[in-house]
Parts: sequence; structure tokens; C-alpha cells
Amino acid sequence: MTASIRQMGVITAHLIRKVAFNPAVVWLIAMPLVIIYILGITMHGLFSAEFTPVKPYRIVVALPEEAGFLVERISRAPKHFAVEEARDAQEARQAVFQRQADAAIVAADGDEPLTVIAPPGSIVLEMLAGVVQASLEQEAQQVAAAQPPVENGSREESDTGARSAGAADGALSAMPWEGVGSFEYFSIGLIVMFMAFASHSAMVHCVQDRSTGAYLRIRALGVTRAVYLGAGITSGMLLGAGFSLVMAVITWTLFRVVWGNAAAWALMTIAGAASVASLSFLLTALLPSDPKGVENAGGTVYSLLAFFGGSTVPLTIMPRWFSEIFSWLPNRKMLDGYLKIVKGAGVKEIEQELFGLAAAALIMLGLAWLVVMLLKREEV
Amino acid sequence: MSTFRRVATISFNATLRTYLSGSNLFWIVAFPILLSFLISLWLGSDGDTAVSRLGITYETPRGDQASREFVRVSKVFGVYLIFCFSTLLTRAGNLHDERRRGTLQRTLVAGVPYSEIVAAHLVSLILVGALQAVIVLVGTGLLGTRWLATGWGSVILPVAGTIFAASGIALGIAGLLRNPGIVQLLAGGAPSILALMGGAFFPLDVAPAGVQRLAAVNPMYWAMEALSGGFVYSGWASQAAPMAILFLFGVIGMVIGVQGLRRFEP
Repeated sequence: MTASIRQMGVITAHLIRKVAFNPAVVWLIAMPLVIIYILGITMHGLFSAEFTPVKPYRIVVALPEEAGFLVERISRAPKHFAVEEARDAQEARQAVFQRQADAAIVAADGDEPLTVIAPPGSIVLEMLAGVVQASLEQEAQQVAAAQPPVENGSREESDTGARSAGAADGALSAMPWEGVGSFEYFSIGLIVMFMAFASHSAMVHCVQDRSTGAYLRIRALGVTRAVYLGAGITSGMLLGAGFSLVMAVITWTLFRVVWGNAAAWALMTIAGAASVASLSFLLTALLPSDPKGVENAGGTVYSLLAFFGGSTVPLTIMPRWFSEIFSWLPNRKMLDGYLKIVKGAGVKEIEQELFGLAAAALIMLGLAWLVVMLLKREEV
Repeated sequence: MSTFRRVATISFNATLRTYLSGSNLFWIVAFPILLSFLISLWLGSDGDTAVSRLGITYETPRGDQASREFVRVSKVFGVYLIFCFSTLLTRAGNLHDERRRGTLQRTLVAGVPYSEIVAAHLVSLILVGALQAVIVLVGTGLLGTRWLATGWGSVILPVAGTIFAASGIALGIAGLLRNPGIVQLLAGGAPSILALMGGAFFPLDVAPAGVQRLAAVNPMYWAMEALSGGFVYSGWASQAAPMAILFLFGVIGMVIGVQGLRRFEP
């Protein structure tokens, strides 16, 4: 028993050294950092509570006199909209069609419904629709209450306009974990993703040892298959956890990501590392013993997991049903757990994620072990 | 054998070899189709859900119903862009692989001029890209993406411009870099970043001013502009400028590539 543990320790240390002192490790760390930086900057607007466009959207209006209140209210959000009046609806339409304006609001006469003209799926469309609706509702309430306009109403109305613009944007950037910034989100997402790659490299080295004959020589010296595979899984787990620790320090230094409760973070990292190492072992068990094939399969599986688990495509832009059907994925559990920790959660609040990850690790480990013992019996 | 026939033979064989590999087929066509399908599942709406919910009438700039398809089509096109650039950048390193394996030297000894090999390499990039586009567009079309909702020109021009620009850029990178590892790394990471920074998956309005300015030197941004010009605005008139810029990207890449590959002539 003691000998087996010592052997496992030696093999684990060797595998970790092979991965950690390989020049490729620079890419393993540099690549996610570059991606976090780019995505953090690029998607900042999607994660911020208030959205103000770089330049106000050019809005052309062709409205009858009775809709003048609408023009007035849109004009009172000058950071969001720059309003110009067109002679008629046709001129307003042409302005958008010729890309001289970002959007238009038209109504030929008082009986005709308001029409918003804007590119489909654009932010200006969502914002403008929100503001128009809010203005119409407010106007209807005022008419119903038959109250005279508030004397100092300009401030209130201005606020309403800005709030409506913010609300329209808020609907776009709403996410389950309010208050998490883009750098925090992508730091977590990319660490979870690349943790799997780091962990997988240990199992790839194990498979390489088979193809080079090193494995046979090690076995000839009395190391059992269980010890060798155990060392592979342990080194995968340690590499995953070590990678997460290094990245947590770097992202805190570079992007000011505050990782919150240390105990919760440590437990989440250990559980996460165990699940990615088990997944890597399962992949290795299921695939033929070809290092390139195992490496490529890992790349494919982890890229897909990252995509569906919200690491690379933020959950904010996924429909709720789509993000919910993949909430059982181990990497998604890690993402959820880390996001909670970053928001100040302790061990108690992440219990569900921890149990989920532990269960996933045990199931995958068990499956992989069955495959290795039953299907690959003929292999040494 | 004439120059034309030699270039055609080499490029045809290179294209065939690319598509006869199972893993290439998966990465070049099957995976993008699958990913596009999954993404299109998200987009049940035709872009005016919020407006309809609020009870306000909505019109696209063209004023037709068909251009509302842009919301779905643009996301699938974004996926296509990533895989087009990724595929062509990966194939760009082929010439260096051939040099390493010795097949390039053997072809030269057989009397084929180096310039023809470089030309064939470029033609094969365009052919691989064109075949990929046909398969991906037909495949995603069968799965529900209405590419032709606003006419052929809306999609053919952006796709052609993309293939030309990506082929040129790929050749340019092959001319600058010899290390297949670095080329692989670029092929894996750069297209996704370019797509995100080019507004392929979300409007660039949410990006900071600096990122919006950077989009001017991003071919994917111009490809998306060409697509929106065709689908949402005035067709060819709106597509002309983005197409010209994509063409420029391609030409600059090709010049850099040819000059660079001349330096590496064995």
C-alpha cells in the first residue's frame, strides 16, 4: 500500500513536471488572458446596468402635432437619441433606408398607429420601442387622471426618458447574476474552460507513455495499472486546480476580479478539478490509445462544453430555456458556483454545485473505470 | 502540360484531399452546420418581438417582411464566417507542411515552377472555401435558415467577398509565418475573436468606441455589413463599399503572401 502510494506520488510529480515545464504552458495561460481581455472590453456593454451609446442614435420623426409629447420626451434623453424632424413619413423612411438615420418614428395622422422603423434585432429598435411605449403609457395615465402637467415636470420627464432608455437596455443585459461584470464573467468562464485543457494534458501524456513504450517499462518495474491510472487522474486534478489558482491570482492582478470567500473558492476548485479530471479519464478510456486522437477529442469536447456551458457565449444572450437544459453540465456547475462566490457566496450557498460536481466526478470515474477494466482488458 | 492545367490539377487534388478526410469534413462542414442549427434554435423570433409585445407597429428599413429574417441569418452567417476563416487559415500552412515532408521539393524537381505551386495553393484555398460555403449554406438552408429570403445577391456577394478576403489573408499569413503551430493557434483563436469584435453575434453598439473603431480593419465586420446591406438596406448599393473593402483585404493578403512565399522558395 505504502509502495503504491509512493509510486503514485512519483508518477504524479513526473506528469505534472512534464506539463508545467513545457513551453506550451505559456499558451495555456496567455491564451485565456488575451481572450478575457478582448471579451471583457468588447462585451462590457452587455453586462453593465446602464447603457449609453458611444454616439446618440439619430432618430428621424414624422409625427402629427398631437404626438409632439413623444418628440419632446425622446429629445430629453440626449445621450441616447438625437432627434430630427422629417417633412413626412416617406422622407423619414428614406433617411433610415439610406442609412442617414438609425431609426424613425412615423404616423401619417392622429388615427394611424405609431410605426418604428429600424434594422431588425438592433439595439436602437429595442430602446426606442421601450421609450415610445413608456411615453404613451404615461401620456394615457395623465389624460385619464385629467391632471394638469406638473410644474417642474421637465426634470421628471427627463428622468423618465433616461429611465426608459435604461430599461430598454436593461432588458437586453438582464442576466441571472446581476452585478457581475464582463471581466469577472469571462475570467470565470475561460478559467473553467481552460482548466479542462490543463487537466487533459496529463491524460494525454499518460497515453503518450503507452505509444512510446515508457508505460510498459514502468509496468515491468512492478507498477500496477491502477496505480498508473490513479497517478494520471491525480495529476490531472492537481494540474486543473493549480491552473485555476494561478489564473485566479493573475486575473485578480490584471482585471481586479475579487474571488470572494477563500474556503468556498478552494472547495469549488477541488470539486471542479476532480470533475474535469474524471471527464478526461472517461474520454481516454473510451477512445483508442492514440495521443493525437485523445488530444483532439478533448479539444472538441471541451470546446462544445464551453459553448453550451456559457463559458464562451455568455448566458445573458442565451434564451432561458437553452441555458436551463444545459445547467447539469459540470462546467456549467463550476461557472454557476464561481459566479456565486464572486458575488460573495459562502460554502453553504454553493452546496448544490459542490454536490453536483462531486456526483459528476464519481459517475464519470466509475464509468471510466468500468470501461478500462471490462472493455480494455487486453491492454496492459 | 500548360500552366493552367498544372495549376488546376494541383489545386483540385489539394481540395479533394481536404474533403476526403473525415476529421476535416467534421470541422469544415458538419460542425458549423450543427452549431448554426443550435444557434438558430435560440432565435425563434424574427427580430421585432419586443416591439410587437408593446403593441407598436414595426417596419424594417426596406419595409418588407423578408428582411426580418436578418436576425436569424446574421447569426448563422457569423458561425459560417468563423469556420470559413478557421478552415482557410488552417489550410494556409499546407505549403509549409509540404516543404517539411519533402513533397514540395519533389514537385519542383519534377519541373513544376514554384510560382505555379503558389498559384495552385491560392486557387485551392478559394476552392476549399467555395465548396465549404456551398455545403454549409445548403445544409443550414435545409435546417431552416432562409438565406434567399431577400434574393440571391444578399447572400452570394457577402459569401464571395468573405471567401476572397479569407483566402488572401490566409495566403498572407502563410507568407509571413512558417511555424505550423503558430498558424494552427491563429486558426483556432483569431476567427472567433474577429467575429465577436466584428459584430457577428451582437450589435457593436454595446462595444466601447475603441472597439467600434477597430472594426474598420476587421474583415468580418465588412462581411456582416455586406450581409446587412443586402438583407436590410438597399441591396447592391449598400453592399458595394463593404465588398470593395473585402476585395482590398484579399488583394493585400495575396500580395503579402506571394512576396512572403518567394522568400521561402527552396
